[in-house]
Amino acid sequence: MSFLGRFLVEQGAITEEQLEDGLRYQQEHNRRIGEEAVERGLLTPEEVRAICDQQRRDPRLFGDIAVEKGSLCRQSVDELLFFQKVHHTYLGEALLLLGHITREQHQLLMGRHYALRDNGRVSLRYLQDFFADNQVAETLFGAVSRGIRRFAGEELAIVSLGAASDGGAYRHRAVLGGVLLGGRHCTAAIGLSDPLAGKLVAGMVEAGDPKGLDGFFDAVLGFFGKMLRGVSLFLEQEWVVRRDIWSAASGDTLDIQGRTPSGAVGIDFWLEDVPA
Amino acid sequence: MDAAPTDKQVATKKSGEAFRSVFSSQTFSFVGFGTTKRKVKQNVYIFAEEQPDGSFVTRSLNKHFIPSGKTKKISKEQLLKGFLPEPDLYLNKVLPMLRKVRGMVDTADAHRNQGELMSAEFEYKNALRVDEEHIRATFGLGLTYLERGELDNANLVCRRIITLDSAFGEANKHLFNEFGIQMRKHTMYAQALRYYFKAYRLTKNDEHLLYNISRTYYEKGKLKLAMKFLNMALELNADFPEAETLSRVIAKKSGQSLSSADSTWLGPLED
Repeated sequence: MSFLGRFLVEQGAITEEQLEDGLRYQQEHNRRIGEEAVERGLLTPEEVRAICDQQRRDPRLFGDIAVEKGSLCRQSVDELLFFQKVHHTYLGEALLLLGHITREQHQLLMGRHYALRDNGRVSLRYLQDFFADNQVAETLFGAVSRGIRRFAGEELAIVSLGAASDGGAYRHRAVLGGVLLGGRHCTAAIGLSDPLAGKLVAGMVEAGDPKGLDGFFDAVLGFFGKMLRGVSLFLEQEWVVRRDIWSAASGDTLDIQGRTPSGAVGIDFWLEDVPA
Repeated sequence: MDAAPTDKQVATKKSGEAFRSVFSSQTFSFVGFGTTKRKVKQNVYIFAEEQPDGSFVTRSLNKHFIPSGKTKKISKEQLLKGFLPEPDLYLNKVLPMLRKVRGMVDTADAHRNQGELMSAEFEYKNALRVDEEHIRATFGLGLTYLERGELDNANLVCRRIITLDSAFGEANKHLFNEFGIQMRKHTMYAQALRYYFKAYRLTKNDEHLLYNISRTYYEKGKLKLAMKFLNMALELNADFPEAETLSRVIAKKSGQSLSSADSTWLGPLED
């Protein structure tokens, strides 16, 4: 379940059923690059599976692996990425196509979403009061989701958003942090429940990483940095620390509770402008 | 194949317009093996457009009845001998779809002009889902991403545009220039150069293109290369005020460091 979707429901812009409808539309219509390649006859399903299998051990993107294997040329990868972008339906667009929001609402919602994101200094408290988003928080959540999908083979769904929690429910914890260009510190305390942690450890071993959860958190940090670059944001420094203490800033903190079929995830996220 | 249609049977064009319509031909192929092998008839539809020299340029129709894919040139005689006219298909399917796509792009352009960039992206994508090679929609999507500061997405569109030769034609010159200028303004110099050099490979006698290449190198700080391309532009057109101004700026900068205000001498690039 997406950030934006959860806020739209909590603000009363759409119902839960309409959100489910929109998410289902996205799942049915949005294609991964491998699926796009098969649809266009550029790769066979077997070739796609081989590349996806390699991705479990190899952190590179699908297209890069395909080019190295000689399955695709760089121009074909560029074309596939372009068509994937063209055919991708955002949640707001899906809701518009399904008639759950009007064109005016779509422009208003998405316009505010991007204006606040681009502002970059939006208060995290705003996320709870208005249907809005902070790109760094969203990207971090995306990085955690990506790590869970890659190493546990499960999808992470948001259950709730709120103020800081004490993290007591989670035995397996780490603190990830980074300094964005411009000096803002972003930090997240991440907690995993036992069953999910176990599944991730098994997934890391299968991927050839003996560091277990340490390796998982390292991978999430790596994804976070890459995904931020993908939206033109950059980390000057980054770190991950395995900590038993669940610490959060005294100011604005966003708490995200998520679930996968195996277990639960908690993330407390905050941004700080640290004086020079 | 039935007797070749006469010119009269082909859809009549309005005077002054290039003739265009849909034609079909039948192909036969064998499917199956052994006892199940059989001959299958398939209709192939093409879109044909008359050229000034009387020949025709043809393209296949995609699943949305939009002409797409590689063009092929054939003579009028080959068209009339090898294909059957399908005016109903043209009038009832192809023409409405072409109009629909044009309407989507017009709507997208209007949204973009009003700063409604999310709606613009939505409409450009709707158009491209039907006509993947629509030049105006592709440029529009790229300009939308640039206005939103989404440079990676804009780069993706730039790489796409470079593969579309018709994007560099005279009909799209204004969009070509606008996209190039915006890429430069967002310091996408490498991408802008790749883009301009693709155009240069197609048109070597355009002094404005050479000026744009020069300007990009100048903004990138590559003064020698900037001067090289500027001289090439001035060789094509010695009476080129903007090029002369840039030439003076480069000469001065080569001799001493310029303040940032000097770059305002250059003004906006116009074709």
